[in-house]
Amino acid sequence: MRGRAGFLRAPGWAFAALAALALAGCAAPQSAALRASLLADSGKPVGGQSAEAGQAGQAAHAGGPVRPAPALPPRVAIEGVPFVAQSDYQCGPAALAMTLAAAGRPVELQRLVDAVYLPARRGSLQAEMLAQPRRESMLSLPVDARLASMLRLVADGVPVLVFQNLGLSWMPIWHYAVLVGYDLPAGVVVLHSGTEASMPMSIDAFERTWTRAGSWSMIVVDPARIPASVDTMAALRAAVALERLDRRAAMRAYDALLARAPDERLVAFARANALLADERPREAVDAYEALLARHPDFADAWNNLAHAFADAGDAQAAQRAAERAVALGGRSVDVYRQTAERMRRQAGPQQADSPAR
Amino acid sequence: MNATPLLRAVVAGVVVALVATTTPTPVQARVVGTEEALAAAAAADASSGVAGPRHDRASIDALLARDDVRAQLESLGVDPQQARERVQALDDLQVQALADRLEQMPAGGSVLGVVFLVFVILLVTDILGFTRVFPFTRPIR
Repeated sequence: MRGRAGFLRAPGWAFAALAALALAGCAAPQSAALRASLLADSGKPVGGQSAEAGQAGQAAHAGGPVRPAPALPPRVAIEGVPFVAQSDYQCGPAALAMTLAAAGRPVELQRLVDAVYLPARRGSLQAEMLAQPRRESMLSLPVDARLASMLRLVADGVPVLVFQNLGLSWMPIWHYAVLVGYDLPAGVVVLHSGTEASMPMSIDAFERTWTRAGSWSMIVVDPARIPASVDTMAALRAAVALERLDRRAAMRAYDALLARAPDERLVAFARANALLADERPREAVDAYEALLARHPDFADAWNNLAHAFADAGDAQAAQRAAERAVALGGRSVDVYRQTAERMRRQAGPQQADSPAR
Repeated sequence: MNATPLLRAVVAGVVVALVATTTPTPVQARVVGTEEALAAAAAADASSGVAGPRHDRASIDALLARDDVRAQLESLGVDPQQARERVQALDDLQVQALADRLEQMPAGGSVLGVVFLVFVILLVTDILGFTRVFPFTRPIR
């Protein structure tokens, strides 16, 4: 009897909770704004996107010239993203298999299961999803937390790996899927999800499930083909993470980023450092000197230039560069002093030793 | 009570370990790495003047965190060789985050394995358009 009473009480409680949730959770603000701007100015798409373009312009500003974001096309379907159905709890590996293949690097599903699946958790962690493509020499990077950014990437032909909470905040069902298209006038997005290829989903429901999972998504691209809408510094951080596993692949990303943002000193610095680590000191010297011609106050670069000169066998130039770093000073001045000390000894041993005797 | 040779050896070991781990690493003539410069730039953006953790210190922390995360992956059923390779693919920030709170992090699995009561509740919320668990539902809004 007690069990029956409990059973009777449960629906009432559940109904109240559902009513509260339904009232609180209807708004999907980003998709509503995107659709409204599209419908309001369907004849003049650029005007309707003014707020959007402003934000995108700010994001792009950090990495170079401000490019006004072209208006989103109303509907897009990326062709040729192969569908990989998930089995058991392995939506993470399946989603990775699809995005890797779309980026030009098909990988066997079992290999991806071994690389990201956590048996005891029956799922895959976001950090490992981001890390795995680096093992395949691909660049992976998180997308900023705006629906418009994901749709922009899809419009540029890049499928987006999305994280969703398909359940409720207090009863989560975490899921990875791949965003392969959208239709703003119809109010749907298209996902390769679970066991369904090209599954349409209401854009409002999609936005809620995605926001409920922390508005997280990522892309996988060839290091030399970084999408124009991706922020340069975000791409640089991703390339540095890739360098840990595959320096040559990371250098292709540095080259691409430098061509796009020649004035971004950290991009040029990353490229020069990679050349030095790759034991190409002559090329590293050229890279540091080109960087320092634009940014003569970059003390870290003077310090590293000294090491590049030393590796290339030019002790005099190494000493001069190290002293420039010491003169500029800064946070790592202790390191510069040690560098300068070593370069002095290498340039003229008798000179450095004589005062001590 | 006289200390046994074993006890003496243990005490000596502890003293050596303490000295080794608390003595600051001497500054060396070295290349300033890209990750280091990126972290410094980020710290300067966040709050001007406040220096981040010293590079040498930070890399020791990262090494310890890597070992911790590797052990956690193994305890969650990952093959030891795979666990090593998986940890190697993570960057320092990710390793720190995982070492601190892997337990609380969500793991994306799938739609499968939902029990019946949950099924009914989610079916209703699906139909209300609030969730989207089941592909066969058509939201009313």
